[in-house]
Amino acid sequence: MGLHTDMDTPFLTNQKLEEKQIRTIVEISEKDEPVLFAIVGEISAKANYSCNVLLVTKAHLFTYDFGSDTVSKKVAFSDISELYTKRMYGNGMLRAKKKDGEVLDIYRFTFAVAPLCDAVVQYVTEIHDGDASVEEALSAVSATFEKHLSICPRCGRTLSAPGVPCISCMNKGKLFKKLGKYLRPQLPVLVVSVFISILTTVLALVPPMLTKQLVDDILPNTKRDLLLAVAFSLIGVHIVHYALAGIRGYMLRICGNKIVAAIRCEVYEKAQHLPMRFYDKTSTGSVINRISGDTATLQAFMLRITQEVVVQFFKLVGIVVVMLCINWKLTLFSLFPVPIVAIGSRIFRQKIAPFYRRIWRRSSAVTSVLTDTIPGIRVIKSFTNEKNSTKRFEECVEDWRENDSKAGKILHAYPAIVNCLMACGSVIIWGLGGDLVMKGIETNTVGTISVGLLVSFISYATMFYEPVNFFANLSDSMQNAMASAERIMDILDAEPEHDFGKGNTNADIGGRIEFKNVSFSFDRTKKVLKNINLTIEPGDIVGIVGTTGSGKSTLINLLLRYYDHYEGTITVGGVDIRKIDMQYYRSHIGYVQQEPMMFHDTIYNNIAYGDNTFSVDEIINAADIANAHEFIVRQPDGYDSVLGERGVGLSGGERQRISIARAMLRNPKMLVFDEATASVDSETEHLIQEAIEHLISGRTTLMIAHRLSTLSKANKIVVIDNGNIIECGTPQELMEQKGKYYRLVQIQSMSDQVAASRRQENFD
Amino acid sequence: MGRIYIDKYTGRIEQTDIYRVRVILKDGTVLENLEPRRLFPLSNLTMYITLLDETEQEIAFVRDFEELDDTSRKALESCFSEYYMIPKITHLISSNEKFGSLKWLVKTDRGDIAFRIRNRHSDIKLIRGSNRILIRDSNDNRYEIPDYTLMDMHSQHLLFSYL
Repeated sequence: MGLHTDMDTPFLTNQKLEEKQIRTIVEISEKDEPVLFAIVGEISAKANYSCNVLLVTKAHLFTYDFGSDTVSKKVAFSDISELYTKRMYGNGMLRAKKKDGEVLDIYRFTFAVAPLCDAVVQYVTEIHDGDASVEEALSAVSATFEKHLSICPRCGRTLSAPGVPCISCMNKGKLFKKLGKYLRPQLPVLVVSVFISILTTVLALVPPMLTKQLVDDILPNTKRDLLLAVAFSLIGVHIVHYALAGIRGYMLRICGNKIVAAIRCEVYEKAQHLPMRFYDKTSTGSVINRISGDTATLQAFMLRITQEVVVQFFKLVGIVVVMLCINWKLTLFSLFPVPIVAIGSRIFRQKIAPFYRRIWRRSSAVTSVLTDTIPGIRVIKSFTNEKNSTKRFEECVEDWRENDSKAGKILHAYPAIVNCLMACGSVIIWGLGGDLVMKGIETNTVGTISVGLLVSFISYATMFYEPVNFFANLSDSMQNAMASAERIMDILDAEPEHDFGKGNTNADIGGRIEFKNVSFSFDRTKKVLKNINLTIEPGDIVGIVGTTGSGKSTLINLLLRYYDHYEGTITVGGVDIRKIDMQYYRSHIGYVQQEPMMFHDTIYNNIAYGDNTFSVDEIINAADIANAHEFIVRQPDGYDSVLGERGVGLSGGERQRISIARAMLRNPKMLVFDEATASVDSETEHLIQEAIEHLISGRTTLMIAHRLSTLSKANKIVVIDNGNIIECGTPQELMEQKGKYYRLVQIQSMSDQVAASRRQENFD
Repeated sequence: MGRIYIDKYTGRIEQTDIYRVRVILKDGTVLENLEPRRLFPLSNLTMYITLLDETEQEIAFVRDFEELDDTSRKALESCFSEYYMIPKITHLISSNEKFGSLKWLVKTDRGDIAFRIRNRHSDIKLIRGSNRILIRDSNDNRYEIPDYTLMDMHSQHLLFSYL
């Protein structure tokens, strides 16, 4: 799809139309009221696939279905009291409520064009309400078309923003070419290794020649002096050969490790910069599997390539040359299995590749169960769910085993056939070569071949099958590695968080925050935030309240730039946050979550969190202000106390205070608290509250809170419901309005009273 | 207020709009503008239907289609046929993998369509313990293969590595 407004298409459209189709549209539209833009959809009014177009003029909208050649009745903007889109499941409907109360289903659409239909609603509403001229409204529609239909002309993939390079097409080289960049730094060592490989190959060819001498000359003629010399020569050749092979093996292993370490680090680093929407759709188990399992598979393969492919290749060439020199006819006979092996290898590759993908999916599912359940072992135990958990794991393992076993049939049948062919090849050489030797003995002629020559030829032939066998079986490990490489590239090629403002560190992060017409959906099926408009002045302490799932955290996620694909703009200090250097921006925001993440490290390092520039005094001071110091001093190892996985060893409130100290230390200009006191008792809440008050003074602060007592310092309250801001003002104003906030306060004060009286009863 | 369960003894359902119904309870109470939704749109199509009001609050509940009278059942079926669009793929005509994403050309019960699948690992799901496959395209549209073993050999061959 693309934006088309050229001479041939006299209106905006999201998809290139055929000349005949354009002509039809022009014909059915009235001359004095031409079509201004068209949405080319995929489904008819009855939800069958069809090229169905929504046509919009300056005052009417109507549809034309190319499949059934039907034009709908025109609906005048002036007759509409409300135009809206209804998102259903797998499709949506553009509906109009007429002034006489009748509801019209104007246009059915798939989610491919859902944002464009929203733009139509905005266009019609603005014109109808007189908020904008046709030109102004059209320019907004045009911008939406452009934004939603920024596509890569090469692969047709939707881009995150107009004009950005397509990450998929940037790396259009083949997988090996991509892996080549990791090999390049190791080139000098690889060259030395190749040189050693040539030497070892030459040395490997020497023993059969000496064997020929032994059989044909030294043994029959009892030349004892030469026997000793040949024996010592053979020992010398073997020592040098294996010593060089050992050195080469070591060098290449080091190389291989460096290559894989580089890939592993790059994949991990890339994983850090992937946008949240990647993790929304990809299980962490699958990502972990790629970083550890797939890179390990690739390591095994790359080591095998670097160590063996070169050696085996030279061996193959060297042996063929020597064999041809000995007897070209016998050589040709011994080569007969090669084409069969080569063709078989290709067929094998095609057969086995899908199996490797299936096996990986199952293996990934096993890892996902592990990463889900092992960290959550407490929950499993508390719900005595051990049996179900084990059953689920067993099912995944069984599924993996079944598929792996199926692959095993092909996996083992192929090498067996190849080995059998090679064995047959050796028998043929014995038969044909033996016949030649016997003919020579019977006719007593020299010129055919001797026994020694046949023995040495068979030695070479046996050696020859080694590289053939290697290359035949290489496809197996190669397929496995290719599947791994492909998945690694899935991460390396995935679109990272875009940092369009890289280098722009001029924005005042403590400045005014403005949400302008911000709408957002995780996917296209349901809008989580709808047309949010909000202004937060510097130093404001804003409480964001609302029921669970109302969109509070999503609002914060957008401000933190976890998601950039929203409609509208968010500005800080007058600058669009997407145009500010991401690292700079985030480093000036202190973020305290409901479940703060603790790392398996000391309390000190958990507060410093990777920044060595802070002095010990600064860290202790931050902990002190965050009311964390008082419990840290009670730990036997103080700041050196190592926290277990996910902060085990500390209570929820203690972990929370450490995370506040962590935020404090960075001296942020903006603070965001996402239900920081939701999971702690009242006493701890008081301590955290105190810590927060120390932290927020003079800083723009946004606080999501279920407990309204947390918002005692807030000078502005924003009430969000079902993705909309329904109330906004000072706490006093909202209490006077007696709306949702007022009701929430009433409910909470009642439940607080009940809780207090219960406590009193228990105390009595 | 407790949940209102609707069956043939407690009330009836009438369709008022393509995706909305009216519920008339036996005691004469009329609940207008309710939107029926399947609670298990993937795993159970005829049981556990919720009826939401305009603010998406649950007002009434149907446990099982079979517990309704014919008119009510037809009203719900009609709403669902409009609301839910999950085309059933009958043939996978071609599958091309390019630049990491898949492009499928398929034949469905609603006609032929080509679409792109962004992630072959997470967007093609084989339901465990069945032969049913659920697919999500790059625009978040949904498709279904009710039983891939009943598809032609060509389709099955193309599907094999993605399962």
